[in-house]
Amino acid sequence: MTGSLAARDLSVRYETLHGSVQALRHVDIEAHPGEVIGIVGESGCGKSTLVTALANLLPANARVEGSIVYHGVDLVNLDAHRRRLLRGDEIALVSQDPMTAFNPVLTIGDQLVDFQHHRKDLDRSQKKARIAAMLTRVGISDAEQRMKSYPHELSGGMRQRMAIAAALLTDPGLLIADEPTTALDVTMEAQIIHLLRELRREYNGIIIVVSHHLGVIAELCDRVYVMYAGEVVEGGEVDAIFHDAHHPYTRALLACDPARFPDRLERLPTIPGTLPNLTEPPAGCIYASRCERTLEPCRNVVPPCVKLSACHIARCHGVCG
Amino acid sequence: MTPLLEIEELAVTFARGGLINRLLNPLPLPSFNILDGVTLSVMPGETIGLVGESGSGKTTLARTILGLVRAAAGQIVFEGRDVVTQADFRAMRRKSSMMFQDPVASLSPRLRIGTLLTEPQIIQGRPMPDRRAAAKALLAQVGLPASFVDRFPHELSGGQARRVGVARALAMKPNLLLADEPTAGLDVSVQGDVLNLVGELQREQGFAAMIVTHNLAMIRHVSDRLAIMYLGRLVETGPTQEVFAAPKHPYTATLIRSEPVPDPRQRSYHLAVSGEIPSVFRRPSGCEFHTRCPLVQPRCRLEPPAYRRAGANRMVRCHYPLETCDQEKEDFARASENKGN
Ligand SMILES: Nc1ncnc2c1ncn2[C@@H]1O[C@H](COP(=O)(O)OP(=O)(O)O)[C@@H](O)[C@H]1O
Ligand SMILES: [Mg+2]
Repeated sequence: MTGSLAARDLSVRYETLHGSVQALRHVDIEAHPGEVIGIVGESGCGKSTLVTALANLLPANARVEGSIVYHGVDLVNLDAHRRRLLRGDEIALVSQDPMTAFNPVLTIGDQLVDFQHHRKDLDRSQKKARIAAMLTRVGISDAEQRMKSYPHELSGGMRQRMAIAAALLTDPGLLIADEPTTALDVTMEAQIIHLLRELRREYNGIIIVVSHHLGVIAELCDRVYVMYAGEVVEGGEVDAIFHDAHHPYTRALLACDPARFPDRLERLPTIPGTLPNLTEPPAGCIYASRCERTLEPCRNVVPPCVKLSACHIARCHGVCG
Repeated sequence: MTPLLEIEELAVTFARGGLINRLLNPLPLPSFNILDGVTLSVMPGETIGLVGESGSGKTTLARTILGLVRAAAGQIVFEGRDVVTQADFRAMRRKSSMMFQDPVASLSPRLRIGTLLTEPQIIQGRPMPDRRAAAKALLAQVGLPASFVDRFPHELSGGQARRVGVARALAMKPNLLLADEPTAGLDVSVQGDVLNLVGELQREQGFAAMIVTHNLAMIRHVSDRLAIMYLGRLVETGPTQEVFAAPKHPYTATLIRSEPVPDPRQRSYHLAVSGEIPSVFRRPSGCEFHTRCPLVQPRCRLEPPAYRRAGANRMVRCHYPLETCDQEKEDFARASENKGN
C-alpha cells in the first residue's frame, strides 16, 4: 500500500568500547496511513533506537540490518543523497527534549521559515503566513509575537507545541513523537495529548507515539507494540493490549502501573530482576530470567511469533494461537 | 499528639534582578513572592504528598523548611521548638534529611559509595570507628550487596542509585525525610521498588515523610495526606483518599482529571484545564487560579480567597469550593469542557 511503513527483521547494534550493544533485534512492525501507532516499554528497551532508525537519524556508531520499507522504498539500502531528501520531506521526528530541535541563537520564526526549504514554490511572506496558520493550529494564540521569541524564552509545553508545528511544516507522511509528554506536567501532558488527537483528524499520514507511560499510549493509539530489551514481545490493537494481553511482560508492565489502582495499595507491584546485558543477550527468550512462568524451551529456544488474531501477536512459548 | 513540624504563614521573596543589580540600583527593586502564606503541619510518622505543577514552589518549600532558603516571613516549629537562627536550623537538619531528585547527580562522582554513605555522619561529627562496616550495614538495609561500597555512583542503575539515595538520607536516623521527586525518571516497576523500600523503613523507624511530586498516580498510594500548591500557595489539604474522592479546589479537580487513564475504554475527550501556570512575576489578581479555573466567577478576579476550613481535616483556598454532590461534579465537567475547546 502506498504511504505504508514496514520494518522487517530490523536489528541495530551500537559499537562501543565495551562491545557491541544489540539494542534492537529482529523487529517487525508495520503502520498504515491514518493510524496512530504506540511503542511502549521501559527505558533502555530500544524505543528511541527503533524510531531513530525509522527516521534515518541513527548515530555514526550504529549498524543496521534488515529492511525499512516506506512508500515502497527500502530506506536501509538507500544512497545518502536520496535518504536526506526523504528525511526532510517525508519523515519528521519530535524528540522528548524539543529544545534540541531548535538553534538557541535564532528566533523561532526564522527557524520555522528554514524548515520549509523544500517548498521552493513559496516566498518568504507566504512561508510566514503558513507558519502563523500552523501555530494557531497547534494552539499557540499570539503567533506573530511568538515567532519573534528565542527557544529559551518558551515554556516546556510551548516548546513542545512549537516542535510539533515545525515537524508538520515539512508536510511529513510519517510523524514520530518520542516521549512527547515525558518532560511535562500532567496538565500540559493532557493538552499535548489533546492536540495530537485533534491533529490526527485532518492528518492522513502515519503517527507513531513513543512512551513509557501506559496512560499516554492508552489515550492516543490505535495499535501498540510492546518492547522489552530490544525486541517487540507483543503487538495488537490498543484494546487487546490493555484488556487481553498475553505476553507475561505486557501483563507485568500493566500490573505495575499505580494509575490502574484507585484504592491505596500497601505495596506497589514491581517486576523482580533486571534487564539482561545487551552486549550478550541470552539465548532463548529475552524475558525468561524475569518471567513468572518459564517453560522447558524458554531458556534456550527463541520463542515463536504466535498469531492470536488478525493483528494481535505475542512472542512467547507459553501462548497458543 | 504534638506535630513534628509546624509551618505558619511562611513566605519567601526574591528580588528580581539579582545581587549586582541591587547593588548598582539605589531604588528598591520590586520583590516577588515565591511562597506566600504557607501553613502546614506534619505529624510524627505520617507521609504528606506535596503536589503541584512545576513552578508552583514545591521544592522551594522543602528547601526553606531545611533552612537552605531564607524565609521572609512566617514561623517554623520543629519538635515543639521555634527554628529561627542558623544554629536552630543546623540542629533541625541533624534530625531531618533531604533526598534529592537525581541521587547520582547530587552525589560527588569521584567518591566511592562507601564514603558517600558515611560522609553526612562524619560531617555532623558522629563517632564512627569502622566506616566500611557502617556503610555495609546501610547498604544491607536498602537491599544492596556489600560489594557496592567500592563502586562509583555512575556505575549504578537508576534504581540502585535511588536506593543509595535512600540509604544516605536515612543514615542519620532522621525524624523527617524530605524527598524531592524521589521517582522522577524511573520506570514504574523500579518506582514501586524504591517506594516500597521507603515504606518498609518508615514502618521500622517511624520517621515522617514529605514527598514532593507531580506524579498523582504514585502519591495516591504512598501518602496519608495531600497538600496541593499553586503559584506558591497551598490551595488544598486533606486526607489523600478523601481529596481524590472529592476534591474541593477546582485546581485539584483539574489535576486529577488531567491524569491519562491507562485504559483505552476510559478515554477522556475533553481538557480539564487549558493554559499554563502563570509566572510568579505576573501573579494574577484575586484568586491566582482564576485565569485557568473552569468555574471562575466575577468575585474570583478581584478578591483573594482565604485559606479556610472545609470539613474535618480539610482546608481549601477557594470562594466556591466544590461540594461532593453530583450536580456540582456535572457542572464542573461541563464548564471544563466548554473552556477546553
Ligand atoms: N549511541 C549509543 N551508543 C551506544 N549505546 C546506545 C546508544 N544509544 C542507545 N544505546 C543503548 O541502546 C539501548 C536502547 O536504548 P534506547 O533506544 O535509547 O531505549 P529507550 O528509548 O527505550 O529508552 C540501551 O541499552 C542504550 O544504552
Ligand atoms: Mg527513549
